[in-house]
Amino acid sequence: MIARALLVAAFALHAAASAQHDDATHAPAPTSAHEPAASLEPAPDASAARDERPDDSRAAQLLAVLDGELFAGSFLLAARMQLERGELQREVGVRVEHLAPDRTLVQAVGSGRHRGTSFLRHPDGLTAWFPRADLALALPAGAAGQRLFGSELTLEDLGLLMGAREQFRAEHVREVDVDGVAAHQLRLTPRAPALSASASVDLWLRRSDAAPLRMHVRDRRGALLRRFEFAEHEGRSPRLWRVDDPTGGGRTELRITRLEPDPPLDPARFTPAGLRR
Amino acid sequence: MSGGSLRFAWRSLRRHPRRSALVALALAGGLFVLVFLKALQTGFVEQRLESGLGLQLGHLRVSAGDGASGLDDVDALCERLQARPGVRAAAPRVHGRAFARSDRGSAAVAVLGVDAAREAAAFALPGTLTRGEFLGKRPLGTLPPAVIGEPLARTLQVDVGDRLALLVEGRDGSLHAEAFRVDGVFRSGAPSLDAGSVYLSTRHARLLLDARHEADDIALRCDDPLAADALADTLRADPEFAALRVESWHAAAPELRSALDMLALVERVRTLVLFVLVGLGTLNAVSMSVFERRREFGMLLALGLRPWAVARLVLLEMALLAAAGLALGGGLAWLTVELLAERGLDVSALGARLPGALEGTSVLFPALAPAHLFLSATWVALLALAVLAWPLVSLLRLDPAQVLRDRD
Repeated sequence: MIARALLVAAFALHAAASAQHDDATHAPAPTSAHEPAASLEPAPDASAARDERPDDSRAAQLLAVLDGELFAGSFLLAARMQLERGELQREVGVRVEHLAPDRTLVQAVGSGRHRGTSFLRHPDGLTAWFPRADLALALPAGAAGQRLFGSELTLEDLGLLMGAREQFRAEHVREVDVDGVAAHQLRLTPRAPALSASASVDLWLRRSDAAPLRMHVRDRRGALLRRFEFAEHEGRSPRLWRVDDPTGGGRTELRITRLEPDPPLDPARFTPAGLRR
Repeated sequence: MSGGSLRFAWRSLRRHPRRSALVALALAGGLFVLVFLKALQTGFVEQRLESGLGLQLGHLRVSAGDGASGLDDVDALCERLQARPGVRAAAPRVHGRAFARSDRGSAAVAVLGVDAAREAAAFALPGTLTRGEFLGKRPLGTLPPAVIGEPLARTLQVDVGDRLALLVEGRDGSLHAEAFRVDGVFRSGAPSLDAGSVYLSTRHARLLLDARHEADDIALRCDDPLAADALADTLRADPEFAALRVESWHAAAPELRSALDMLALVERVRTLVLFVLVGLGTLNAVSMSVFERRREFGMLLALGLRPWAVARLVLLEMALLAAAGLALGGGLAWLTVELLAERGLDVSALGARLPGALEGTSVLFPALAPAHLFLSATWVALLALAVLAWPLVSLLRLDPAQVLRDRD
């Protein structure tokens, strides 16, 4: 409840900031709720204190191997998510279009209430597009920690696994065994903690090829928020992600059905104004 | 009591009209103030309960027990609840928080999904529409209806027929937004409701919030809001509703309960102070009367009248004065309350501002229950007789020879 209230308050403040900006620049009144002038303001992160130290060299090397095969360039990913939480059981189709590390579009496909809802990470922040409301909205940075289409995954998790780690600093922790497989344990910590939904992320990569095996996301008190298990690897890419929330009891299984490197992507779609296309 | 004593007492009163009038007016004034203040307070409490509970919150809230997250088959449940003695109406609700956005403004709001017909039957808010409809039927192909308060309409710069988007964190934890059409605008007089509430139909609220049950809870309106706790106990004890959680407004709005408790305490202190003042005034008048009439009483005793007969005469005089004073004070109080109950008393002229849930109005409507009038009159009559105790004791100790000698 508190998180919900804080989120609504954050939206309200963010909208107020947007409105003030509109007033200050004497922008003409937009003609609809999705008009960029009113809704697509950057997230207010410019003044946040950041940890600018480079990644630990060993961790950087491993992550470069992880990304090298696929996530260093553009790609298109289609997946089906099976959601289970309490009485809820639902399937949601997801399409991820990745143009560059700072330009990723995540969209719900298929049927259901989230159909067409899109989230765009772009250099100026995060923008959501809600087609049922004809509403494009610049979101505060903390919104990347919201459940994606009701699943246990968040946009921040997706970004971490798909090369969008510019907001995190990585360091090598140790070499360990994960269910009998030799692995490296990396720790990712947000460069600007105030703007991140998680406080630390532990990522276990297979020692032989840096394929992800497991990921744990923790909050500021060290409590486990989400556990990821990766399986059915094709090369370094796991086709099955199992995510569970140890406190809330929810489970999500994400199965990648299509993974296409270097697809033909229209760069114009990767802008807030292009979201409506 | 003989007719002779009554005539004698009446003659005694008429011989000192100013003094008699003073005592009768003191009792009349005391009763008037007591009854009128009580009527103002009763009216204020009724208005406060109506604005705090009758507009929207309800007197009782029935929700799912045993860890279930909502209610189903709510129409049948509402009917069963309404059939219980003391329950006037029942209305299902779906609750949520949202971020409302129009072309020209935005605001954080509370979303309330309601059954329009049941809501109108149970609560006053649908009756406060200033324009549009309260969740009327929508033509095919149009956006679902939403009803908002006037201040919110000003913030969002929308009016009836305009478009409004609501962004929520759904029950599944995801962000979701839907578009609505402003169907009606209300002005309830409760600032928080008017500035921060959006009414939707239960169906559209469920879709927006991804609520899986028909309703989160059912709000009940009772015949007597002050008896809500007792009614809640009755419902809890009923096996038919054993699986449900029943809460009275005392739990749902503890700040209102505290305010009313404080008001009751203030009333008790005020009544006590008023009794002391009226008692002292009456005691003063009666003591002076007995003192001034010492020679008269001494003469009666010297003529052979027993002390108790003299005391009875004084008591009779006081009873006559009390009857006159109470009739006058009670009658005036009743007339005044009757007049003001229709028109109301605008306290803004006195520079007063009504606190809490009545911020939207400055008019008080006093309310008087006959029982309160009779109870207050009885207390004032008892007070009048009680203050006679001391003068009567001195009267019983009166030595007629001494009194007559002193006079000489």
